[in-house]
Amino acid sequence: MDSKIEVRNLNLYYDTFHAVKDVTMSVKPQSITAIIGPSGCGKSTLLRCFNRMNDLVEGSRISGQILFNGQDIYNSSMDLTQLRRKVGMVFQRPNPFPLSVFENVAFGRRVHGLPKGSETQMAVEKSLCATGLWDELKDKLNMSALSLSAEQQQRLCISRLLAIEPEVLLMDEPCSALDPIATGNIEDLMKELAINYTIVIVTHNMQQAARVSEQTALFWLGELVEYDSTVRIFENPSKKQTEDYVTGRFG
Amino acid sequence: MKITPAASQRFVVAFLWLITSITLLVLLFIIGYILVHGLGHINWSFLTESSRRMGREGGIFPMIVGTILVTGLAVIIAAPVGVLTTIYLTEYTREGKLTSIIRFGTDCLAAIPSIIFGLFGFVFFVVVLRMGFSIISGALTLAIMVLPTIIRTSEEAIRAVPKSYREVSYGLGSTRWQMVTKVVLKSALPGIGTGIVLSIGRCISETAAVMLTAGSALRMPDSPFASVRTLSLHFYILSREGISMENAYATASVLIITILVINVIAYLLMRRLAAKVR
Repeated sequence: MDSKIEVRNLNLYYDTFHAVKDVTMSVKPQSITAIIGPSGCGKSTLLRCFNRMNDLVEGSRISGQILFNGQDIYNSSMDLTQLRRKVGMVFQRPNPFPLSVFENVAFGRRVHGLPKGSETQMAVEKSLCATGLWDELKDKLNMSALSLSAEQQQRLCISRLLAIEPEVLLMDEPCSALDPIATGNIEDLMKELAINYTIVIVTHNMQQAARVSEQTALFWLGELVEYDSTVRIFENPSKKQTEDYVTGRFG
Repeated sequence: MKITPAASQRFVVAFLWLITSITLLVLLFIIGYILVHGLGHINWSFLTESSRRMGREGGIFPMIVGTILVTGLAVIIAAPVGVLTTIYLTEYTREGKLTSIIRFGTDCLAAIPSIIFGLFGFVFFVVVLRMGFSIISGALTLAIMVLPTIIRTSEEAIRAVPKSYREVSYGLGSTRWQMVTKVVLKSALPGIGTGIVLSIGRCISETAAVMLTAGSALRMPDSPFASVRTLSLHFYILSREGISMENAYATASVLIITILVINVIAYLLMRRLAAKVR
């Protein structure tokens, strides 16, 4: 099976700090890949390479390659605007703009100059349906997004991405600000979305990785320790370090 | 006698209350004194007629027009320059030597007495650029004078916009300019607006810088190069030269009421805007 994202010998430095060390892995399309590991192991940093959000960090340098649909995203001919449209990111804290529900979802379409009017309205409806928000919010589209609950806000942030038709959703601990029930709901949503989208999720929560993902990668101090199907990682890992981590003996 | 913590607490509360009341009373006394002496002389003809006999008789209509023109033009020039400078400082450069020099420069500019701006405006706009004592010289001088206020307040407002908004905006593929206009300026608008209102207040009440650049003509202005007399300058001349204390107080009352009204309107507007973005 071919890969949606392919990482080849990726190294990333923040000034002199070597945050990601010679990582090679590939992400399968239309599936959920989990990246786990202790804090500061480079998992979020790697995720932020996939849509080049690390470019915003002063003093970051990379070597190696990341291919998205076979194209090197760090190639100078890469159109960042298009890359970020295709590879969207959901952040740790729900972070809707201080705008109405509708304007939040329509934001990306306006940025990319997509058709206005009825097409935008349809896209907003479709995106809100996809995250299960439409029935709750269809009469409140002009309400400020900041008055929604945390779970609704996170769903809204996902809708905001879906409205510009991405292919990959990067999720950086998307449930860490949510309670267990909301977490369960978002996990169900992720599984539904994985039918159409490729999802990469960074999580602290090993149970979450076990529950939602098909592949799991364990990182340790910037290195990829083991990458395999989630079942193997949790039930029959090939490395002692992985077994110790997933069984909670350290970390 | 030993002072218990509870007693000292009561004492402090009473003391702070007293100090605050004194401040308020002084302010109310000044405003009240002027309004008591001035309001009686304000009537429709005072607001709509030209002045006669150097301001001893007649109204202040040309001064109202002059104040609006000079202040309006100054803010129309200063606001975009100030906001764009701030956008450059906060969004388009990284913190470094250049930004700290610019910041230090604006702080120094803010601390300069207004008469120095007046002197500069007189030498540069009035004499060197041959604009003469005019609305345009006055407005340009005031624009330079309020620039630091606008830059400082907009900078605070823009820095208060959460970093996450910027990240999300980039993450959705927006360019820097789209991020600035669609996200940052939108959320910072109430703060930027407050800075602009403060500047309007400063322009209206400015006297020294205006005297040296816009002149003190009593006529209705007929072009941007005409000399005008603003309300505060009119008040200064009426009282300083002992022309008419009644009309001086009346002019001061008009000034105070105008500034109060502007501040109240601005406050309400900002509150509505802030409610929209919070």
